[in-house]
Amino acid sequence: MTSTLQPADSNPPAPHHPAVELQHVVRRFGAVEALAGVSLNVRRGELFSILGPSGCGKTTLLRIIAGLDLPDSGGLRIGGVESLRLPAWKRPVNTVFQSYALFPHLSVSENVAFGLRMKRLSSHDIVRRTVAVMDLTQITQLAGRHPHELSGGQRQRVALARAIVNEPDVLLLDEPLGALDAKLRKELQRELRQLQQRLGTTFIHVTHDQDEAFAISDRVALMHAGRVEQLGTPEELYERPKNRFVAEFIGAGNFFAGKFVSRTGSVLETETPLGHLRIELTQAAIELAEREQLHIGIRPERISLEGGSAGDNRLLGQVEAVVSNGPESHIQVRVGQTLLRVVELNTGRRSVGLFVGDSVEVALPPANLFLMEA
Amino acid sequence: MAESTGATTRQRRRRLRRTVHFGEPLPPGAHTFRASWLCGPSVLWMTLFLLLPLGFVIAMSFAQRGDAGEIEWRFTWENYARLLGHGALGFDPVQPVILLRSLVVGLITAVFCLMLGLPVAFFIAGLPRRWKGAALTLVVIPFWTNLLIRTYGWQLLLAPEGVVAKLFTAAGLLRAGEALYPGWPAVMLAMVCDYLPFMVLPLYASVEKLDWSLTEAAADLGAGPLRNFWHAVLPQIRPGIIAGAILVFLPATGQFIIPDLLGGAKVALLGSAVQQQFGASRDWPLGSAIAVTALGVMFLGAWLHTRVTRGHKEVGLP
Repeated sequence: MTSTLQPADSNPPAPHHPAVELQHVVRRFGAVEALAGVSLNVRRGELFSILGPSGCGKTTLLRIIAGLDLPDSGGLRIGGVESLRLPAWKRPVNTVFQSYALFPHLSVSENVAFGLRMKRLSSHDIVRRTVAVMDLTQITQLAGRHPHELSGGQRQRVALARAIVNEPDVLLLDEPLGALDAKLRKELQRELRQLQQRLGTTFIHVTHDQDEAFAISDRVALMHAGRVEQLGTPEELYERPKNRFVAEFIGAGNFFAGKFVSRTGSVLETETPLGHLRIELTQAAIELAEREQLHIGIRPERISLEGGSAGDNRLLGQVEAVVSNGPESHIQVRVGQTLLRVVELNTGRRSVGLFVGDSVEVALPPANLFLMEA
Repeated sequence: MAESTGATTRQRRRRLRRTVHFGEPLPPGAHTFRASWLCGPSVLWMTLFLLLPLGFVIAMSFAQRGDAGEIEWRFTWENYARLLGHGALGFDPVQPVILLRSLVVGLITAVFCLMLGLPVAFFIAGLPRRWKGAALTLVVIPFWTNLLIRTYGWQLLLAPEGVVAKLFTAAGLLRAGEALYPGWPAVMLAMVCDYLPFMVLPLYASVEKLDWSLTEAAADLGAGPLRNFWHAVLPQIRPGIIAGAILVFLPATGQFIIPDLLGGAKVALLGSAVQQQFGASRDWPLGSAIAVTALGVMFLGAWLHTRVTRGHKEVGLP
């Protein structure tokens, strides 16, 4: 059945263009700048997530791509075609709305067929493609029902089917799983990713949920106050956050200031409140090291309390709190005036547990420390 | 054994079941009792003054007119036959033409009111909150004046030396000294003007509740403005359109003041015909038959509408 559904990019108009290009897009609502000059390129066939706290402008960005909102300035190209002057109904994009926005007066199959009817396809083609997509999204048995007779997860599937049946060049998803419970969300995340890889369509996915963005995306743009703070793969964002906001939004971290002492190749010597620290720099971070004031961070699970290995920065600390949630322990260790957060997996290797007041040796591997811009 | 005990317990429980109504637990039967004495007066009122007279009118439509205009209670189909054009001297079109004309006038009035009312409803719904109340008041202001007075107002406005007549004369559409009434244009003008508020108010109520995200979805799925309106907006405001159309169509077909005052003798509608039969002609059975037929036509229309809107489905989809 699914073979009737062609990948959207089977006949690309210009393969070398990015799927979507945004050039310095600005959108103001009164005095508030919802988008303060956003530029980014979304590659063909990737699952691109726009991640950020609520009110950061991510939904506005999506609506501008869909043609449901206009920027005050800036440029937009979809598949290499200047698109700002194109009305929404002429753009090769389809949206899965946060509220689903299913037509209440139409049945599930009529909802799915809506876009094809608007394209004035023959009724044979409409039926064929509608049936194929309903099969793909597993809503065939719901065909005759109306939206008010569906559960949240079912509505979500119908909304998805209604969008992909049109075989858009770009599929926009606005918090598609936001209204679902955690278990269903996990399940649909996996299905969404599989669907995207099967169709090869470019997906642009907006979410405030870091887990969701990381679980399914090829690349993530982290937005804050109308700006893209950092754009990269989930690993890049986690391992090499550009600044404190990125580092704190994505997972937990320990942050402290440092003073430049010396640098030999990729090895940086610094003076910090924790003491003297050696940092192994990545290629991209070398220019950041040539500053008076350094912003240093390390993830809690990258700190070792079990001795570490040779070459680690070793510090002496005192355990201030231990909280276990089952699989892992969250430990606070005081080193000098600084409180370090440490996460250890409860693998059962440690023979004696840690208790408040214990003295421990804290090992910070030089490669696990990272530098940020601010 | 245990099963039968369970059943009787359940039965007893059901018999003694209390109901909670607006948070107040009521003993069995109390809810029905309250409902009946609260609704009683209005039911009684409707029975006495609507259902009984209606039954009387239906019965009378099968009676005969005596020579002096009295009612002779002998069963006959003759009144209905006359409505269909069966006269003493062969085919007599007077009554069927009136019926048809009324339906057409009602329909045209409803269509004009709809086309004029839709933009108004959308405009008011789009106003800032504090202006909406004022706008709705403006819509109903004409009702503060009696219909008869308003209709005489139209006569003055359209009179031979009136402003409108002068404009028409200047444009060469009217000969000097002539009036715009009596005639069809004057009747339709007054009808639409008179019934427009009945259309605007229910339309506004629907438009106000419109879910605009559906229009965004439709646009996103490739619907241009016209098809967007047809597929995403119209289904949502359909209840308002139906309510408005019924509120305009029904009284418009029965209107007799406007056709009498602005239409002259030629433009008799159902209302005028009924009035004529019950009044000057003193033929109550025929008047009743006209009234019953009109009622039947309305029911037929309503039934057809539900038939058409229900069961409409895209061909071939599962």
